[in-house]
Amino acid sequence: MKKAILATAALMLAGSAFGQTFVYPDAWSSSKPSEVKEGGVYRTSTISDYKTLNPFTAAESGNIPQVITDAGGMFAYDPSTGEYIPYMASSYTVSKDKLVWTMNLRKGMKWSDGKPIIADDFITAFKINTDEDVGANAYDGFFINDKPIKIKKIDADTIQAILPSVVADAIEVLAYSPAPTHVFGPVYAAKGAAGIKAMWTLNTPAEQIVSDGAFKFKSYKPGERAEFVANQYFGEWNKNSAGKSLPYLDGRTIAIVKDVTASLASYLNGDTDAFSPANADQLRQVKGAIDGGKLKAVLRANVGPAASSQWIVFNWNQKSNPSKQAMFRDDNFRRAMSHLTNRAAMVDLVYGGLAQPAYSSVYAAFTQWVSPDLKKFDYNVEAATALLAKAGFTKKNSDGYLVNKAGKVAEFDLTTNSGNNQREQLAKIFADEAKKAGVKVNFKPVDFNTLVTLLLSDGDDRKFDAILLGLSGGGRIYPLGDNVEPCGTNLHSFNKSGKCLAAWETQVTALFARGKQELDFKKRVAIAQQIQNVQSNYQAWDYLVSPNVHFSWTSNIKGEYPTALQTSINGPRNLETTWLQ
Amino acid sequence: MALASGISRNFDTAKSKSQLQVVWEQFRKHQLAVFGGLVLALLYVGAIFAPFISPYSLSEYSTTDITKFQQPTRVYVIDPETGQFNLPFVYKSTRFTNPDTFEEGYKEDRSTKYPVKLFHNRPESPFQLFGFIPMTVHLFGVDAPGNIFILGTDGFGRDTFTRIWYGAQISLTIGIFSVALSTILGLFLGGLAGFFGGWIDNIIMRFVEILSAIPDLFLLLSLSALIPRNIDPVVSFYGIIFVLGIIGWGGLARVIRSQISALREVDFVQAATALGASEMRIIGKHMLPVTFSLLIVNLSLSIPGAILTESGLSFLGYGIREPYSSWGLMISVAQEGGFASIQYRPWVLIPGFFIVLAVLCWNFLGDGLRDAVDPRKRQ
Amino acid sequence: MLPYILRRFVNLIPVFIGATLLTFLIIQAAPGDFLDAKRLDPRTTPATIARIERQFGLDKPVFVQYGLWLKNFVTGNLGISFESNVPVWDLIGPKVFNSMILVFGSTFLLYFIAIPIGIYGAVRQYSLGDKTISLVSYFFLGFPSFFFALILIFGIIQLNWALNTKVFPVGGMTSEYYDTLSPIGKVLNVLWHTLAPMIALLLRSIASESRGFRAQMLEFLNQDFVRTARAKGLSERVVIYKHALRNAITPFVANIGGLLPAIFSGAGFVEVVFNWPGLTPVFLEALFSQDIYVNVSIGAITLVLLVIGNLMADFLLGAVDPRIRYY
Repeated sequence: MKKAILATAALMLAGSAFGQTFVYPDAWSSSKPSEVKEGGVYRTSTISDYKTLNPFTAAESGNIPQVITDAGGMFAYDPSTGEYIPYMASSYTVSKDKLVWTMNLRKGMKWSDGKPIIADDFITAFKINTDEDVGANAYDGFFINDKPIKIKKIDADTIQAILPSVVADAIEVLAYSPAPTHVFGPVYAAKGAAGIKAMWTLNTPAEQIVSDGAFKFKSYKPGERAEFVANQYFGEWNKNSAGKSLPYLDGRTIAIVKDVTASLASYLNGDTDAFSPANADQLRQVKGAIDGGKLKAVLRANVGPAASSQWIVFNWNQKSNPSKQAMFRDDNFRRAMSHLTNRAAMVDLVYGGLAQPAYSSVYAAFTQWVSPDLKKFDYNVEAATALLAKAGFTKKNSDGYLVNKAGKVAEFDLTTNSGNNQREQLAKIFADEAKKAGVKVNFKPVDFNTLVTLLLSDGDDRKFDAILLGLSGGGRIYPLGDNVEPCGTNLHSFNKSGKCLAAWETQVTALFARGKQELDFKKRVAIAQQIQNVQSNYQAWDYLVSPNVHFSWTSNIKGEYPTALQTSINGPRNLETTWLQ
Repeated sequence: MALASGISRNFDTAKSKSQLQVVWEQFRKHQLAVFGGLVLALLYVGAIFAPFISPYSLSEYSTTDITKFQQPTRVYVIDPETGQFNLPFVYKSTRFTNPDTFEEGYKEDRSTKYPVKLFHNRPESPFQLFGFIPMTVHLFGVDAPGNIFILGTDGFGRDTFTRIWYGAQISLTIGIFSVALSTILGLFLGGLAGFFGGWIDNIIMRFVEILSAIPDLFLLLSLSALIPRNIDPVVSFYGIIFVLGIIGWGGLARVIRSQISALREVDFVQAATALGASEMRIIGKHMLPVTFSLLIVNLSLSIPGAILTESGLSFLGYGIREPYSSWGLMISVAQEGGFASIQYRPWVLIPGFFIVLAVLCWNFLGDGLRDAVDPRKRQ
Repeated sequence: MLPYILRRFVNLIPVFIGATLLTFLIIQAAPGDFLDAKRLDPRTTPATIARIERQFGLDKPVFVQYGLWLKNFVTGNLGISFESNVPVWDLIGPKVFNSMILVFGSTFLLYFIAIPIGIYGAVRQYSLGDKTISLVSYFFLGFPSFFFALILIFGIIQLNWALNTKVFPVGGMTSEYYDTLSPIGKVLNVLWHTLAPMIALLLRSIASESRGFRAQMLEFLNQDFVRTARAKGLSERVVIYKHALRNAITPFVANIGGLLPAIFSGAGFVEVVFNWPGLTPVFLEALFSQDIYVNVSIGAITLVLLVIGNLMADFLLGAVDPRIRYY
């Protein structure tokens, strides 16, 4: 936390020179403030249609409310230091016991309709987000170990948050964005949660959609594109170090292109300005077009491993199928499964070599956090066979599949969402390799909704065997999952009976809580690594591979991060300081 | 989009052996139809003998010796080193990747020759011919570690040639089975409607009208969504046949109905009725045979449609599923690869040309048959 | 004529009810429903589920649900999309228009192109041109349209690169600068975007229709009245265009109604590959998330459109065939 305050002080100095404006550090852009040009539209594409404009009900990642609040909330993430810095707060203080946070709001901030951003807006956002009936995505974030954070207004410019207990990532929680009280307040007072949920649908006229970010919503044609224009009020309090108002761009458009081939086609054809190749094939095409002089663009290949995970999870809660339940709860069986996971083949066949084997619940992108002492059960059919024998599967039946003493075949269904090619390929490779050790894996893809339903179901009798899926998102201060690691949480997907079943689960749950309250970075990392080590020994999740991230953008798009800051966590650029040549 | 009206009008109601001969002679004059028939015969024989013709098993690939997207293996009869004639042989290819251009490819390793062996025994890929004769001998093959992929490999490194023939089993039968189903439905319901008339006719024909009013694609997709995703792929194969079958019978039912209701007034049917023949007997013995040639033509012109529809379903994710192979599935996988499929590995598009070929030949055959049974078209 | 239209519409009521009911039943019969995911989501309370069920009538028997939907449909209310929580019409209304651009545009072009090709084939039967055309048509008939569309897009990119300008767009319906264009510019911009999808859509149907029309023409060219006309010494031109063509075109025009559903389906695939904001992508997505009112409404609206198409075909038929009277 000390580090954070130091960084703040440095920024404060810069800030004070321009009164209450937030000055974008020069370190965030590879362009000098003097060379930028204003104007132009930045064009990208996205894969699915938007469902809503409502910040409280939007659940899909990259939704419109996220697009228009891109700049940050009370705090913002500083890609150059990896810390959170005050953004809408001009300064903040933390009490000695680390429980009371007092934040002074920056003056002169305005919504895109010209109304000032005030303390009430943060209170409104807090109230609506924590209203259970609204069902907001951010709901869980305002609780620490099931106890609510209290946020109140001290005066027109001051907000106070009282935490129920010490927590390392408090600043991440308090980095939330305000909601325009003048828009949501009256409706919430009159009609409550139902009224809020009915607001800001795709039908709401653009003038009524209010933004605090660099861009405001202009129009959305489903199946075609969403358009955004610069929020002129944003520039009043967001400037570069030369005093120029941000953003530089006039606007941005996001085309809806539902198919990856089509989105590559529109990039190659010059219809969009940026594209993130997902595999070696796409890289090769982009590279070929650049080298052939067909496309003037920058390609940053293998920026780093993705900030996401992919795993196979086995269901421990199968009351109605005791033999399978016992099989999945057997540590040796799961270790054998990890031994049968041919990560090298997955890297090669699915990602064309541009990926790395994964062994940890912490995304490979968080290099500092991934434990160096993980227990690795690498591809090894003999070792798997030996472990399976320990798990009771000693003989083979006439079809060549292993059976145990009770005559049960080593067999299970593996499910993933249909339509996701890469996952289907990963599942297929796993199933084919398992067969070599005599384990019968029936690959059964289902719709994504059904899959999530299965995974999130709880109780002691859940209706699936094994699921192949991935996770993304989560915090940067403590990059373990609040809702993943401890027993009884929503994504503790192998055991959702609500309580710990294995001793090591109890241990991990305790360690997790300790790490979450540990304010010292090094100690927190040590605890996180200890958690990973325990987890890797028990293989509740069989981690697969972590694909590399690649960026590409056309050469006229400037203002990207300096190369060192372009990571899979940061992304390639800050849109506020992006400009067109 | 066969113009059925042309067929149904002047139909010969007398039928004899000589009639068949006339049709056969007419058919033989139609060169394209004969060509189509021959190619189809080849394709179907290939499908039946698929496991034998193919050098590998349907879903076989190695994770130690990666053969992903390997180009078709060149079979040499002249030794490129010495220029001398040799029995057919292949070289093994080794994979290379270029980290700068992200190019992946294969280079022949000319150190060892692998002779292509006929009736090659390969115990790693056993199969049961016709489903009951266990065999390990394949028509051709090379010894390990050599590979022979005469049409290249897919993204897992599986042999395209092998998968095409296994795929033929599904693509070619899905057409026949589903059209057979819709023919039976069309024949039965159309026959009922035409023969009995009245309210039966009314109900059946209204139903046909309702079915034809819903755009095929929407009906097809809605019905396909009924097949649970996590069901056994074999069941989903039958499901697709069923879906294709119940979509296609309406048009045929209409034609049959008008035929039968016209026939009801014809002398020999009236005579049979007078003689006290049962209704079923009249339909089965006297009426259906007359519509037989019409049916054959209809069959051969509907099958290509069903083959195409299956490929379309696969494209939209509602078709045949792994581990089975169909031409439609293979081409939709190639489609997912996008332009890379066209640019860097065109051989993955080959199943598409098999679709074109099969559809083309069925159309040739169907047109030939239609012309042959149509007395006005006789030359 | 008015009584005729009315009668047609009255006759269509049972078909409309039957078809929508059938669609409704099929989609309802698919495993699971929209609320499945919500039911297991801990954040959704049982009370909320119950409220949504009540709100959409999902707790009632299927036939009652259908009745509710039908009642609403007649009053112009297509229900609410569960997924995006907006009235279904707002979601699909613009798409209906977009799909119509492709469907009616290509139907018009189809006849415009297929008929001359058919005439040529019939008049120059077995000539080299005829044979080439028929071979090429056979070829296009065998091509899965989605596959052809991919190759077309690839070709367009290569062409654009080769000429270093955007000859054709590779997908979508409008350019990003669409809003800044004049009304005429807007129309032209959309037309420009229709070119490639139209080609993908048309090649197949032209192949089948021109072959059909050729057969039709040949039939009439071999008939007695044509022979008589020739014997009278009428010029070949008059024989072909006045006698044979007028007769051959009648059943062909009558067939428009029958063709429309097929063109609709064909357009569906093209919409998906060319990223055209039409009905099929919406239908597919709704099918996936089991957003049932969207599916049924799309079915119902296409049905109404097809009926209108059929009526238009009827009038067209009246125009080309003087024997037809509406009474």
